[in-house]
Amino acid sequence: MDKRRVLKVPVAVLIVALASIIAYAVIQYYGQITTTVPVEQAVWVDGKRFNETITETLAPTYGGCTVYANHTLENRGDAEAKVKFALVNITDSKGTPVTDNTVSVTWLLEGNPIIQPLTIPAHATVNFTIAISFHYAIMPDTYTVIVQVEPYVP
Amino acid sequence: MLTKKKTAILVLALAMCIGVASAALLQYYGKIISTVDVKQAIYLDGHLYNIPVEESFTATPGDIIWKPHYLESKANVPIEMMFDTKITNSSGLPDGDGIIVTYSTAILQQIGTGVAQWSTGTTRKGAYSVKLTTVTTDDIARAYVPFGATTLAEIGRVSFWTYVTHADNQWVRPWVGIYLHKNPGVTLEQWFADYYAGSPNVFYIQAEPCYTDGYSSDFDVWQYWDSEGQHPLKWESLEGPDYPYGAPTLQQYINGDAMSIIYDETAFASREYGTLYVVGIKFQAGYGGTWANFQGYVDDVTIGNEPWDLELFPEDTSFTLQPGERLDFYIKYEFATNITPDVYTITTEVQPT
Repeated sequence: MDKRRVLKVPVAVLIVALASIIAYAVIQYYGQITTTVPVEQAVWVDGKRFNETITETLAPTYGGCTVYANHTLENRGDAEAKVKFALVNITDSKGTPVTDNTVSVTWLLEGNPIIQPLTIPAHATVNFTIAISFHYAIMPDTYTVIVQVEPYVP
Repeated sequence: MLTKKKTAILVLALAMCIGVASAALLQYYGKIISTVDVKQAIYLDGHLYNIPVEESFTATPGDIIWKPHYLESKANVPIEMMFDTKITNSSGLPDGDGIIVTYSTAILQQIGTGVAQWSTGTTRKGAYSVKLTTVTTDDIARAYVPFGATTLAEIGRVSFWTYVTHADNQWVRPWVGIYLHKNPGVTLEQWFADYYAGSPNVFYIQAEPCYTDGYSSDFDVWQYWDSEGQHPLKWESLEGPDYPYGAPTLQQYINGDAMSIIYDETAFASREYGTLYVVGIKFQAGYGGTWANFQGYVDDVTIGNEPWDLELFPEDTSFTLQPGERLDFYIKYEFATNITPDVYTITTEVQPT
């Protein structure tokens, strides 16, 4: 067996032991603060949290018509927030997805289509409108449209 | 040096870290669920699309039968549609031989050698006008629009355009007549039956353009005739004197002023006409005067405040209803004289295009 190798092991153990002794001799921190911050979401839709789904029944309408639903977005944060509007799905009364463009959804700001993303200044409230248009030949039924207001992530 | 196994573990650990970080960010600020009850855009006689409008009648070979219907748009955009006709015999087999079905906004009638026909040659509005021709004075050719439950006051106004290409008597123009009755829902046949029976319920007024102030007898030009305006039509009545130049306006019949307009000791009206029901309105060439070799057109009619364009709707040809528009139309069933006797089912669909 090589003598040098035999010697290396005790030396290493000695160095570690010395280092430990030195570490115990140095203070790690002078104090510790534990801070708990309840953070609410920045942007609120109709004054509701993200997990409080807004459910509305709009007035009956006819094919070839557009119905409008007014809502608000409030940015309670100190920084401007960018949001985008997303169509989750459209279903008929049987829950079947409507994908044939007989129902179309647009978002309006003061009557004009919203260019996404929409920037909401800090501490500002904006009113927006969901416009749901129905093709004139649409099958009469009860349709459900689900939309989301999402944080815009470039 | 990292082995492959260590690399895989490192990647997995990084992925888990990313997952934890993503879960801490909101996916959405809010969710809105909107529910809308959507009804059909176009109604035929007020019916839902899955509730057919059914009518049955008996016809003999050679008959022409008109049936009134209406379309109503509930949409807020213009909508194109078309008529589609299917005819089957009692065996359920397609069999349209000997049956002609057409759709139009007026009923065309003709007496003698008079001819009333839909024309695309000279039109003022839309694709069609009604061409009226008479060969002799006794001929009649006309477009007739039936009503029934509408009062004269509710209609209030009638206007139309004419275009005359030639006539032996340069002064004649297609003119307008309104059949009136004290009772609602009266047909023209019933009106005539009451008239010949001497019923006091029957009234009638007519206006000929040539008695209008500012009348021009020019040919080959569209001319406008209105019951209102600067030169309103003058209306003679069935019960009044034969003096068209001094006849009242339509409004004077409606409000009762015609009762005090007298010629040769006879008033033009014995009562106000506003509450009388309109049986029908006709636009006619022929009757009275000289109507030899007449050819003219009527188009762009307004009854009340609504355009009542004289139009034919050929099958499989699209037409448009404007937002909120109601279109009263007539299905004309024409049975050939040599038609095979049978029970035929004629189905008309109004289809989106």
